[in-house]
Amino acid sequence: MVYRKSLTGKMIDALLYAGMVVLMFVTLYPFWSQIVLSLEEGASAYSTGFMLFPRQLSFEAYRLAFHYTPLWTGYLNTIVRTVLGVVLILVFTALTAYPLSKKDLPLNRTFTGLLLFTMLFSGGLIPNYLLIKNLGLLNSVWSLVLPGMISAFNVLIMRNFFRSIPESLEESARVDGAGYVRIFVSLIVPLSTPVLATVALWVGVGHWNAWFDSLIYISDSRKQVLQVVLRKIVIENDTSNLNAMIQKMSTNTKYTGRQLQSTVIVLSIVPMLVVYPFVQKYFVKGVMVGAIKG
Amino acid sequence: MVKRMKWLAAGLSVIQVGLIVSACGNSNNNDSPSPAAASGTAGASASASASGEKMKLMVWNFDADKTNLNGYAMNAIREKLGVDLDFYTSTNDPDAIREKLLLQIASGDIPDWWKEVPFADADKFADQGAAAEIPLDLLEKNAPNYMKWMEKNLGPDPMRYVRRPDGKIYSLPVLWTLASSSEVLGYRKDWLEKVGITKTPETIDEMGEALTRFRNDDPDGNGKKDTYGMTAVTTSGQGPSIAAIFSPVFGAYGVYPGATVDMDGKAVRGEVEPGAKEALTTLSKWFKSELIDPEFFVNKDTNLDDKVISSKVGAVARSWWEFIQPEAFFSGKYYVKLREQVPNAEWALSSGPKGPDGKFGITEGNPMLGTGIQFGIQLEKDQAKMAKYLQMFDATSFDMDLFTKIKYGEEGVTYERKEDGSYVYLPPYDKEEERTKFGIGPYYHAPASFNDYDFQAPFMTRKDLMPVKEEAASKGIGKYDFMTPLSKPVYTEFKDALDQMTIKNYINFITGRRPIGEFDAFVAEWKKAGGEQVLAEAQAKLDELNKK
Amino acid sequence: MSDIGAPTAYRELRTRAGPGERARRFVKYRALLLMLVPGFVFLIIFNYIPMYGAILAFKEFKIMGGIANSPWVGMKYFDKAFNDPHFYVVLKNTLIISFYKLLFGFPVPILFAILLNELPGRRFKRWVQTISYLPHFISWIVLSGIFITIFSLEGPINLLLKAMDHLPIIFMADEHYFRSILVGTSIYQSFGWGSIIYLAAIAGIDPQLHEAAIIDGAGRFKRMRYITLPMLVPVISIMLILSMGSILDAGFDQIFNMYNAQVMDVADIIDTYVYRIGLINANYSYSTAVGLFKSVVALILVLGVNRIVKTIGGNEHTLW
Repeated sequence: MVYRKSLTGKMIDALLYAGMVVLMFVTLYPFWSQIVLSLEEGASAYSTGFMLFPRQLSFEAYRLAFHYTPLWTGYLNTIVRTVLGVVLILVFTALTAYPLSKKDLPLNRTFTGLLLFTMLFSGGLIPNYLLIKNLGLLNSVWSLVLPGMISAFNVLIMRNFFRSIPESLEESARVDGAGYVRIFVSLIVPLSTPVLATVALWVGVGHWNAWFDSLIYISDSRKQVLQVVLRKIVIENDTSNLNAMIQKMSTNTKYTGRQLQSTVIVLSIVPMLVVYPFVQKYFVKGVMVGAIKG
Repeated sequence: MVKRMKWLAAGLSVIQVGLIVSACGNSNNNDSPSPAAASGTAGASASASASGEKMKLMVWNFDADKTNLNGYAMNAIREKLGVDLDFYTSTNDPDAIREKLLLQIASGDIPDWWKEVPFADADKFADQGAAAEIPLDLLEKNAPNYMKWMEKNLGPDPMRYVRRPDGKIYSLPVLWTLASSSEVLGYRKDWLEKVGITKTPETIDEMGEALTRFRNDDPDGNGKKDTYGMTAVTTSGQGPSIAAIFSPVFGAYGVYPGATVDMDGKAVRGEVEPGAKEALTTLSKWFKSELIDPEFFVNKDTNLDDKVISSKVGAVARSWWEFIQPEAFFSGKYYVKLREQVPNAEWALSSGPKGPDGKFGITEGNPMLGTGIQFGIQLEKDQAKMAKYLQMFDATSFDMDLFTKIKYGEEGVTYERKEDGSYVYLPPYDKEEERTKFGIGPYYHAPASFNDYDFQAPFMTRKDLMPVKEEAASKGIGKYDFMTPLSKPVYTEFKDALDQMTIKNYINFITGRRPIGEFDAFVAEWKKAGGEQVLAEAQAKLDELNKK
Repeated sequence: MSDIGAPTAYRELRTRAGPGERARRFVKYRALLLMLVPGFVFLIIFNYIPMYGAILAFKEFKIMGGIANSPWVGMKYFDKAFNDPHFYVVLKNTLIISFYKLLFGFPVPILFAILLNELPGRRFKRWVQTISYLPHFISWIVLSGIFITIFSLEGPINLLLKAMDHLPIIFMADEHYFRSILVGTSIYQSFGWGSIIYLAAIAGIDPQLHEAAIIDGAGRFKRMRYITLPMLVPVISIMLILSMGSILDAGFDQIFNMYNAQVMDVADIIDTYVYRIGLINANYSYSTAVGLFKSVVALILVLGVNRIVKTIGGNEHTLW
């Protein structure tokens, strides 16, 4: 955008900047406090009060975590389910959403209704477990990926985005003799990177943070996902959990405490932060392609 | 194009599989739960035992990262009992354990046995035919030490608490003997000295005086009036807890809120007894004089710990082992963490102040924590296996040699006994990772449920600290809810509403939002909201227990 | 992939469909209809087949009998819920909290996305965006600990009140403030994350529109008002409609970790109540019935709001 800004424009920019900087600090704090707690010498790491810097620096919890094998298996399993989930869900969601973006598609209302219904109604835990069990998916990564394959929310969001792509682009491609499949692959998908990136992010973070399905469907500890491993550490060190306490009591095992908990929280978030800039690129790319085509 | 068709074909076959399979699922559910229809492992091992091979028993594994299927502990059990062993792998999250067990049973994979389900669930499992009957003679024959331990703690016929109306037993109760004497009232001893009090407060007036000075005489010496006498929580662990609200003060007036107790043959709930009114009067007086943490009702467990450890309060009621050295028993949270901040900090423990009539005590917990152990229905027809399980439970819990092997390993290799009597892991086994590899620790649930702390004392307490531990443990005195292990559908129905009502009113009485004069009105409201029925149910149960 | 005009499928469709407009559309969209197949296969297997479990709301669940063999009890569990006076309290709270969260929480991500878009400097923008969504990753267990400290008697808010000669307030235990705290902290946790979809939509706006407007002399606010915002309307309306689907989920994790006995009357929601009841006595049928009730309410609201959007904005922005 090449245009000159007025003085008021610049002042507004400055105000915006200042506001955003404050916002950044405020939203950074909870994460920052976890970093601080994770680096605090065990003792002082007992406070819920404010801490901006660790008083006694200690990398002990990180050392422990790095030597804790289940954490790394958990990472690996989570990465596998996340990548599988994101790729498959993107493909199938886009495949479902594109036809539904055509308003005069036969039975469109029926299909949309069927889809929407699944967003609001579910059968509950028992039938889902029986289904997974009967399909032979227990203890397999597919039990974590397949059930959420089609989410009405994602499909409808994507469908609406597809609808916002100017009809004229598609018309001209059709005039050039392209079929719907070719239009979908070579026109719609490249133009839709912002929404694809958004859904990928939603799905990716959803898979990254999911734990309940893994807890229920996976018994083999070597296939357990990161969040389950993390929860386990947290529960183990929850002093109000009687069963965990009685167990620790019987060999006088110590609580590893808040420091390790904060460490695992930090370790679970960092990959998300690393990946984000790569996803973010696609928010911009959509504009470029749009500009060229238009 | 070919690709596309393959996709289609694959999709269609998935649908068919789905339909067929779900049909199977339904028919499976219709079958009565014969052992064969249950889990494959159970069927296999049953036939194996018939053909003279080793019987296969299952051990629960809630901490897969800390166990070793073929490690030292498991082999010790195998050797001792002449059985083969495998794991049931689960998780340590109590909610998830419950959910998963329900799913396993509902889908026909009934485990051989399970532990730590809430009483109401266990009742359902027994009622609906998922749990096997445990014959008393089988129990007495195969788990004699367990029975002895139960009798030691519960008197003759210890199974009376879990006997169902049909006269049968469906579960082995787990006792956590510490529960009935765990809560004590701790005062900051260094603060008492600082404000010129030389002995631990004994009466309610002395306690009030101590709290007053904690508030006004700057016991932490920072020149600010930022300390309070005492704090508490209104929720503990997973839910609301009436017992956690200044229970020692109520004890001084002879009442135990949050528990149904036996008062000379009469079942009473402490929260609506006249004594509670007096306790609330004292507390509201204290609150008005700012002796009590003004936001005690917002506290969660962590906030409470935080306030204690950061020297904001001088008195708190918690489990006795939090106040003493970890080497004396366990945890020692308030001792260790506090001393890191205040090196000369010390605690003086008490059983709560004596009231005008000399009464005292704290609401404690029922030692019967959960139903403990139930067997899957398939074992009803496989008594030999049930017997073997009982033998395993008995041996791993009460056989000193096996117990030591499971938790500490091999003397001279993984641990040694010091002169002071303590057990110390030898390097490299002082690291938990190494112990896991070797295959020892507290994580082998076979069943790891029956903890006789007299029997385990040598492991837990350094000899020279024995008096410290004995002294601290002797302070936990009070009454507990006798209804905990009993089936109580009426109570279950009204519990949440009554608890919420009580906690809210208690806070209002203490903080002065509702005048104490209205206590009787509160009692009437409580009774009307279901309390009457709850008391009637409790009385019926009590009469039944006392009759026997 | 591109020559998907599968002849066999094509022939089948043609023979099955009768003459006329409908048949013409079937033919026109045959490839697209095929595209729908895999998605709906998944939907049928993983969403529709398990749905038979919902009948448990009308049955007394017997664990050994399975769903099929559990006896029918009709409306027993619905009666149980609707005869429980506390159920109305939690229902009311759920609706109020949810409504406030929607009213105040829904516009924030939109506003944030628009303002962020106005920021010059791509790098700075990226930083702000990344940091703004961090709270989304912190669990409520951790966040509630932080907020309880912030709103405590010695927390910064009360220090500020003190400086202004105001009496201290125990915010977390005050019925007047608690819902506001819930709404505020929930916005705090989710606005950055929620803005992603709007940023994506803004990214999809053709820059030529802006350039043309600049040439026409439109100022920054004019362009925000007449270009950015109208281009966001389709996303906003679909997000609004879809958010109705979770209207009875007022935020279990948040409330469970923040509430206390003092604010129970304004903070207890359906989910926390059902959880507490379940802790005492797990009742699968009862929780299924409550779940079914929530679904029905959500369905009504989704359809209702869809209708309203249709009336106001025409067919363009609705679900269907």
